Amino acid sequence: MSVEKLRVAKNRWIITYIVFLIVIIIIAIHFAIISFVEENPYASTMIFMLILAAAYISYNLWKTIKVEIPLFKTFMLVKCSSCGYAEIMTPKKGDYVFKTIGPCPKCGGEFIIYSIYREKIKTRRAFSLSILKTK
Amino acid sequence: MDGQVGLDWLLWFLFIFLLSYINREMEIFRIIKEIETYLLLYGDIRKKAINCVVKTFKEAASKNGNMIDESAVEQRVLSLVETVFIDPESRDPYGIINKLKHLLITSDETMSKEVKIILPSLDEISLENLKDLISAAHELNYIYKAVDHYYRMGKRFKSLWILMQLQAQLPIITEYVRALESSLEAFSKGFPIGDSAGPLVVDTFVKKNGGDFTYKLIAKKTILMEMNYKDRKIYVIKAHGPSGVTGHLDDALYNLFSTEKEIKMIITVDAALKYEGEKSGLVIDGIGVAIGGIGVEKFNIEKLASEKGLPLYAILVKMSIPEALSIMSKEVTLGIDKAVDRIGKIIEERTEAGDKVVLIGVGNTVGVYP
Repeated sequence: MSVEKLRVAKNRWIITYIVFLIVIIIIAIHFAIISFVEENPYASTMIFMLILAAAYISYNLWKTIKVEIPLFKTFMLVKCSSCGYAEIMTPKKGDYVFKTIGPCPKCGGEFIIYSIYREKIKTRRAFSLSILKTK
Repeated sequence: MDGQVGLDWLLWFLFIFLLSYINREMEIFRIIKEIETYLLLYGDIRKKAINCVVKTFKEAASKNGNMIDESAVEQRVLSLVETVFIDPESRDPYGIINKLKHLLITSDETMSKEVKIILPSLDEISLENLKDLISAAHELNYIYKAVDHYYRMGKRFKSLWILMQLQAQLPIITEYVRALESSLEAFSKGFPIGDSAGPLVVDTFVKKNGGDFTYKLIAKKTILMEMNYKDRKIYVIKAHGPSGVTGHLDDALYNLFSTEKEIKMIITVDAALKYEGEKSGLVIDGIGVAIGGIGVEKFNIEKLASEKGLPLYAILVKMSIPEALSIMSKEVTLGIDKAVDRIGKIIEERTEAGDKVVLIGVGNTVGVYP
């Protein structure tokens, strides 16, 4: 879907799951203390239920983190028609394939765009940094 | 005692019945919520498409030194996006291809006129790219409205079956919406899309084999280049780039045949949708005419070839739907050279020295010169 929307939704869900997980862990610690101090049999049942809930939330958190948001970058292959010298550059708006963009930096021949393409960039690392910027 | 047991059983059955009813209601609620999420996203993308068209109009206007009223342009764009194409009557199918062609030409010319009313001094490349952008926005608007229609119908009649059918199709529709969304960037910047593979392959074939890009207009928005390849004469036909047009390939072929009688073979090169298990950029051979769309050009080329008894060969570059409409992917780019080599082999193996061959690059030639 719309990449920006997907990224915002993903970040929101991750934060929500982390908050839920922290809350569950705090409550579980609270019941663990009660269980040890008061020897209340219901406390251990509650701990068991909370562990189940934590496992479910952890599974969802892991699944959300694994959602890959495709990030693409556009490149162009520019080649000299005389000496074959090639460079990978970033295209500007209005560039097209077989356009001469100037003289070759090596021999002064025609420097021609041979292809304009987009490539997928790995997103995991990018996400772990972008989560901090979420509004 | 017996009365108590009977009441327990009755309550138990009532509970089971209530549970199944609640389960069904909850299922409807879950499906409705899921469809609503998709609709929200489709609506956002539709809005983004319309904003992109208005922004491109604004940029084109400032480039030409014109001032435009943004709200008036938005209104005009909205009216263009809402315009419907009415299919010709097909109960009597005789002559339907000509009727379809007439309607397509009318639709294209009307769109050009509408854009020219907003920006009279717009250059040809920007005009065609803007038209493609409007078409993408039109398609997104149509999808949003159709999905919304079935969603409302399902909700109104509380029909689980309508909602389930819609829900089942949403992932596939979303693929197409994603593809249209990514086409906005390509058309607004004028970069080649996956569908430009056909024109790019034939251009690369010309360039690689020493041909120059000297061309003449052979039909509206369609060019003809001539070159020699291993003692064969090759006529290369494609849409006139780098603007986003698909040309009139059938008219070009008819015009060529009116002067050249000795043609031995027609080869079409086009992008084709891949199966899930296939890799993008895979190049395969075909027999027949490789042209998608509504079928007018395909019909006319097949008619001409069968009348003349000419073999029809095709080369297909495989890609997914999102790849076909977004900026050309690296995998598809790598397939271009393979397709060029394949053209050479087909010409060498299936024709004799001195033969004349027509090579047609099918697809939108956005971002590919000439």
